[in-house]
Amino acid sequence: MERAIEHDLIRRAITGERAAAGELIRAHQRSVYAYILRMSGKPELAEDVVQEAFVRVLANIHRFDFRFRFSTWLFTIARRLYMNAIAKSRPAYDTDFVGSMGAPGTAMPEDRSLDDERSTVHKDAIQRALMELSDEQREIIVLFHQLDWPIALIASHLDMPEGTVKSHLHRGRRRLRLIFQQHKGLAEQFQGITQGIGA
Amino acid sequence: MSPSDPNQDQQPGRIPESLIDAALDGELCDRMSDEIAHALRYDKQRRAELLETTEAIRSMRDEDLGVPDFQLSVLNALDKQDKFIPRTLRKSVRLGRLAIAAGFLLGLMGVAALQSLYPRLTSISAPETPVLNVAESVKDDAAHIAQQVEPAIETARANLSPLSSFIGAPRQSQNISVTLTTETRTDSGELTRLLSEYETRHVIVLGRAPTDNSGHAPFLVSFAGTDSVWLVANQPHPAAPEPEDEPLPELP
Repeated sequence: MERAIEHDLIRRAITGERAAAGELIRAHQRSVYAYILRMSGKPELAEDVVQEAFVRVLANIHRFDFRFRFSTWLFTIARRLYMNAIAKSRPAYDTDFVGSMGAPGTAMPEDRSLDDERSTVHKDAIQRALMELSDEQREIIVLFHQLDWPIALIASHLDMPEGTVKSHLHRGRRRLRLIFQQHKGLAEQFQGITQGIGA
Repeated sequence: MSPSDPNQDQQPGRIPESLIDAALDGELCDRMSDEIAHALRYDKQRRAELLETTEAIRSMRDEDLGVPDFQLSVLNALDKQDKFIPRTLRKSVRLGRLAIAAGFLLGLMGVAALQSLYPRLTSISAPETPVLNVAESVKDDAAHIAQQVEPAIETARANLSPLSSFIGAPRQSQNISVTLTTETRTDSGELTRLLSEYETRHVIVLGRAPTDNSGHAPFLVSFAGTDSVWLVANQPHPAAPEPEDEPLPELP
């Protein structure tokens, strides 16, 4: 979205125009959702975080500083909310997950259909590979390669020197390539097995 | 040998990994990019690595993430906070806000004008009145307070009615003149008579009774109208002579 158009929408949203706020949401929801989903790997968490980020940003839209980009502000809020959510949910999540596995009445992976599993494994190869990277590597790769942010903007967003950003990017990319190939190989093997069973 | 092994870059004909990184970062000019593309034809391992990397990146970019539409949920959440006003009502709300602000300002100006014309009108503190006659004011205040306290005393007495046999009827306070004598001071005679007459059991005398040559000590005695505690006799009677200083004993 062009900056002039974005500023116009923001000005209209500040005056209380609902349609302008809706336009801003529509323009940015894909990128911010992709960012949080790639970071977390959990669609439900990403949905909650993104919704809350939009609500907070639009509720305080009159404080927007026109020197900056709306997306930078939105991503900063979303990132902070994501960090808070992770910090709050980490112990409970791990305990719940371990405790629930195999408990009576809980759905085990075997309960799902083979087609579902095959589809998920194939689709999740890249996400699984991303989740095996460090937090910094994953975040920088997503911002750079998926959302096309320039290095300087990433450095500013993460409060990191550009050299460090590049170092994380290069190492992360090499690891991503290796891990993705492994997961892809596994997915293809799995696909072969399920096709054999289906035949 | 791992692909990221720096020794690999030493092999003849290898494209340095840093160049591939720079190309992927989009930092190379067109000419350099063409040169690397040409060199990759002869460096099969780098080419394979680059293809795998771009495949991973493409897979990440192309995947349909199933982005939900946040418009409705976000705008509904904002509506609960009254952040957005429907277009049809926006003008009315703006005019209403302006009218309220103007009314408030006019009100303030009116108060300021009144304040300048009638300073006492808008004062919230009690008006100051000079005290002209302290003695009279004290008497008046005392009478006023007694008047206010009287109902409470009556109520207390009514509550104590079962004990009425022990509590005498209230009597007026009064002043009488008593001449204290030596006999009086030994708790008999005149004071004993007064105690009997006023049905009072205790006498409190503050101060030392001066004596004149005749052995009499005239005092102004104030009686309070209560049963058990009364009078303070600490003021000499106006008619009493000034006490003389006792002569100092001679030094040995």
